[in-house]
Parts: sequence; structure tokens; C-alpha cells
Amino acid sequence: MHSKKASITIGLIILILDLFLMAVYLQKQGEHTFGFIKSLYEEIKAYRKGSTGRDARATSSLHCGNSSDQDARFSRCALLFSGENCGQ
Amino acid sequence: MALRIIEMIVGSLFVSTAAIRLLYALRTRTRYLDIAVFGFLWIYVTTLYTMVLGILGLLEAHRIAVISGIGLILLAIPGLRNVKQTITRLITRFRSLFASSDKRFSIIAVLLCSLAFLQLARILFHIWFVPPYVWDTVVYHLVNVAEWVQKGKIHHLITPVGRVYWPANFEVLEAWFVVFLHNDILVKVAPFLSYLVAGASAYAIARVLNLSRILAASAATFYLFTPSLAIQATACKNDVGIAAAYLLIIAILLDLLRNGGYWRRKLMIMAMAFCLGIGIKPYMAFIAPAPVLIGLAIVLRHRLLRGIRGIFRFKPGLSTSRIVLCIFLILGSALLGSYWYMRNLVVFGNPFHPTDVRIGSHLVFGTGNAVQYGPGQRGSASLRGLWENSRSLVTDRIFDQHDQFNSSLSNMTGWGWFNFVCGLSALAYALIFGRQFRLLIISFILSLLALLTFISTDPWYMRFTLWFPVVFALSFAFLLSNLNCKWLRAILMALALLCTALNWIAVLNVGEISVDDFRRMMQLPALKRSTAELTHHYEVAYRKTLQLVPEDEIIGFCFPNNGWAYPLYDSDLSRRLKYIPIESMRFTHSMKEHNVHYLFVERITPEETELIDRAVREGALKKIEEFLYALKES
Repeated sequence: MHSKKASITIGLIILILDLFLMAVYLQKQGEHTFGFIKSLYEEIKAYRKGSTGRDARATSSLHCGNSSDQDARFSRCALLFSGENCGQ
Repeated sequence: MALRIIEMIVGSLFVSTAAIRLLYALRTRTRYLDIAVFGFLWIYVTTLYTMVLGILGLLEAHRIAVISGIGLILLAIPGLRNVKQTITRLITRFRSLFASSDKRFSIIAVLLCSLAFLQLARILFHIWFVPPYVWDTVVYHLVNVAEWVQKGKIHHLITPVGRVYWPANFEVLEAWFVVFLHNDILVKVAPFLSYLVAGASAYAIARVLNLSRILAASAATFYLFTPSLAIQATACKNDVGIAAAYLLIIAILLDLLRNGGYWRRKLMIMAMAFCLGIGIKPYMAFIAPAPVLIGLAIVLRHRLLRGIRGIFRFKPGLSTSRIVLCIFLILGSALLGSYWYMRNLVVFGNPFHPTDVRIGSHLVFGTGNAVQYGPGQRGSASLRGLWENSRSLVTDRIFDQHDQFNSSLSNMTGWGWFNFVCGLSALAYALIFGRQFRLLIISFILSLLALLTFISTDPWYMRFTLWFPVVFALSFAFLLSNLNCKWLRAILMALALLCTALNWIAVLNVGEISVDDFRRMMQLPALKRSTAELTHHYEVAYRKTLQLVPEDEIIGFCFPNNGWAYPLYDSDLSRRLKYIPIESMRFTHSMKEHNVHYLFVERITPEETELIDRAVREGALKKIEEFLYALKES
């Protein structure tokens, strides 16, 4: 264990470095993490608000999906997976 | 279903008893190490048992229950005293993990327990409600599992997906959790157990390195919250299995370095872990520099060169049962470590099929023309590869800037908030001030560099490095243990806990599952939660196919070497599949020969599309959907 003085010096240097790294990481990954938190909150809020639309959507997804939105999503998937970067 | 659950209990009791008996024979008498060793032995016994049953064609719930029942009687009755003793000992040791004597960190203990509870809740929720969803698992990992469980034996599949032939010890373990219920609802327990062993090993490493219990628990928690690892706890991919085996080896080696003792037992456990790991993925060999370096340090420290002969010398007093056990473990480990390579050598003439193996420019194994989706694996060392991989890691991936954390780790490390914010600086600190840590960190960096030398530069290679972030967590715990300033320590710990909480939030939906999917899965009955129901990839095609094709019909399929077969098996693995190559107009005859009346296609080539269209025009096939065709009855 370091002496009190050395601990404060080392600890403060590490803390400043950590805060700097946090600022860097916040800029890089932050938008994804906080974007996800925000979208999650909004989605949950939307579900809690509109039960009628939600039930209709859930029913169409649970049963044989002939709805146009599902077909559109399928086409989108087909386009997406015809590309190069889609898993390994 | 009740019978199946009883069979599962009998099977689980048998492997648990066998693991306990094995622990009794191999225990290291170091409290923190034995917890991780027990977890590993459970996985080892289950994998070996399932593999033997699979090879013998006995991979079926009723048969396993009968065999397990007989085994249980043979094992439990004579060793009842040992089993009871060992269970009591394990419970005491488990309790001692939480009996903090370090009063200064009691609030931290509460916070760590809360975090652990949150993580556990998330993982259990994912296991129960979310069917397998990860690209690789539905392309090849779980396709193996589905086929083996369906046929009741381990056999090699006929499929266009070459990667299905890669070593599959982890899939064998996953098969254990599927075979009894004949349903994949519990399949994610396999990666979760490996995740726990990785955490227990991280704790053991921290304790070996002289960290207090609470700091060791902190290090293990920080490590377990690493997004790449936390996602893999429920992803059914096999890298978490490697992380568990590798960290256990490191923990035992460090224990040998510091404390010595029980050399034979520890060497045996390490050999077992290595064999299990090499049968999961060959890169276990690429990351060998760390164990080798620590091994050399042990030799130097304990002046073992003269003593090694003594370790392997036969002792006249050794009991027959010990010798039999030793031979059994050597044979079992040899089977686990070599089976897949031997099978590939016999079937394809290349133990590493479908990867070509080269030394320099000389082709050692393979055709020299390995076809893989994307760049594939190189199968040889390359300094250029090392440079490109290292540069990509340091300048780009480490920032995790391209996407939300997900199981594929596309162009990211997935090391997350804690490792970047708190781990990097702590690593530098430990490298400068931690004499004991220096060896570990340097050897881990060497292992990482060796790995980067061998693997291809593709967007997803960081999934091979799940074991590495443990050095960040250990370094941070070491830093805290050295700071003689309460408020500064508290601030740093608070920052670490904040980052860990962010790591937890960031993987709530594992980067792929929508709230709508979660909700829909929760509405479905537990045994009906099929991958085909998920909406993130091709949901319409798979669900519609399962609805349109009668249950007793074989589904013919044709897709490229990255196609999703697994959703077509359905959650109860009831659907039978048959690969129909479309190379000429003979494919309809092939369908008839194999009694296949339906053909599912996905991402087929223009040539294949042309042949199918021609078959439709000529009246041999009927188009039902864009992706589904039916054979017309003549």
C-alpha cells in the first residue's frame, strides 16, 4: 500500500485519466448506449400508452403474417442480407 | 412432459454426483479455487458423458435416464459419505465467499450483490423468454445440436455450411440441455454455466494475487459485466467456454506459482481444461503463450527441473482406484480434445476442415481453396495479419464506436465502459507497481498478440478475446487495494460501479432483440418460443414455412454457406430437414428420392433461381411463396 501522499497523487492522476477516458468513450460509444436507453424508454412508454394498436400489431405478428408491413420488412431483410457485412 | 422432467433430474443428479466424486479426487484444498474447479468438472463430466452417449447412438432421454439411474446407484451408494462431505464443504466454501471480514467495504458488498442480482435476473430472463437468436448459432452451432438430438447420435451432417464441421465440444454440452425436454428452452444454460466458471476463475485469480475477498468479488463482477462476455452468457456461442477453461488454467498456474502443492491434481485439471477447450475451438492453442510463460516462471521459482521427474514418477503406494481414475481422465480428455479433428481427418482428409492450414506458403492440410463466407480463417501465422489486427484494435475497435454491443462484435471489442474508462489506466498502474501482476499482464498481452497473428482480419475477431478483459478488472482491484486514501478509493469505486451499471443497461436487449419481440415471446407458451418467431431476421419466411409445411413432411432446403437452418427445426426440434443441392434439373428427382415434397430456399444464386423457375415452368414444382416451393405429384 502506498503512503497517504503517494496515494492521493496516484489516485488523482488515475481519476483525471479515467474521467478523460470517460469523455472519449462517451463520444464514441455513448450515443449507442444512451440512444438505446432513450429508445427503450420511449418504446416502453409507447406500449403503455397505446394498447389498441399494440394488440392489433401483436396479433398480426403471432399469426400467419400476411400483413404488408411484414412483407416489407422481409424485403428489407433480404436486401440487408444480400450485402457483405452480415455476420460471420 | 413430467416424465421428461424426471429424466432430466435423474441425468442431472448423475452428472452432478460424478462431478462431486471427481472433485473429491482432484480438489486442490484451496477454497476459492475449488469452487471454479467444481464448476469446470461439472461441465467436463457432462460434455464427456454426452459425447460418449452421442457416439454410441444413445443420445435419447429415456436411454440416458436409465443409464444415469444405474450410474447414480453405482456412484452414490458407496460414496454417500464423500458426496455429503463434499457438498457440505462446497456450501461452506460458497458461504465463505460472501462472509466479508473487510468491514470497510460492506456498502460495496451490498452494491456488488445488487449488481450481481440484476445481471442474474437479466440472464435468467433471456434464457427463459428469448429463443436462440445469434447468427452463428442458428447457422451452424445449434444445427449440430438439433440434428444430434433428433437422430439420437452424434453424426456428421450433410449441409452447405462448412463451419458445421468445426470442433463442437460446446455444442455437445448444449445438447445435454436440449435432449431431455426435446426443446431448446434451456439450451442457453450451457453458456451461462461457462460464464459462471469464468467468473469463479476470475475470483480465484484475484485471491491468488492476494486481493481481499471483497476486492476479488469486485474484480470478478467487473469482469462478468464486460458486454462481450455478458452477451455470450446467453448467446449459445462457444467462446465463453474457451474463456472459462482458459481462466481456470491461469488461476491454477498462478496458484502453483505462489503456493505450489498438489502438483499432480492441478496438472491433471489443467490438462482436462486444455483438452476440453481445444475441442471447443482451436484458438485455445493460439492463446497458449500466457500459460507457457507462467509455467516457465513456476519452473524457475520452484526449481522444478529436478522435481518434475518426481511428479510423474509412479508411487508404489498409489491405490488402484486412483490409477484407474487417472487412466479414465487421460482417455476422456484425449477423446474430448481429439474427436472432432480425428473425425474431420477421416471424413475430409483435413483435421481442421473447412479451414486450410499452412506453414509459410506450404499447404499442410486442406484443399488450398477453402471456401468460406467472408474472409474465413487464415489457418496460418501472419505478421501482416498481426499488424492489421493490432492497428484495428488500438485505433478503432477499442472505442466500440460503430454500434450497440451485440454478440457478433462487428468492428468493436465489446469490452465496454468499465474496461475502457477504469481498466486501461489501472492496467498501466499495475504494470508499473504490481510485481505479481506484471507477469500476468505481459503474458496476457503476448497471448493476445499471438491470437492476432493467427486469426483473420474480419469485423468479428474480437469475440476470440473474451478472456482478456479480466486483467483490467484485476488491475483495478489491485489499484484500489494500494490506495491509502478512503475518499479517493470511494470515488474510483463509484466510477467503476457507474460504468458497470452502464455495461448492464447496454446489453439489456443484447443489441438485437426489440421490445416488440420480448413482448411477443412472453405471450407465447414457454415451449413454443421458437427462433422462427423472432422478427429480427427473416421472420416471415421461417414462420410461414413452419405453418405451411405439414408437420410430418421433410423440409428440403437450399441456401449458401451462411444460411439459417436452425429456425426450420422449430423449438421442439420436431421438423426434419434435408439439404437439396440445386446444381441441375435433377434436383427434383433428388427431392422425390428422399421423399421431400417441400423446398425452402434462401439467398440462392441466380443460376439456382433459374433452375427452380424452369422446374416451375415445366410443372415439376409449384411456387407457394417466394421462398417455398412444393413438388407437384405426378
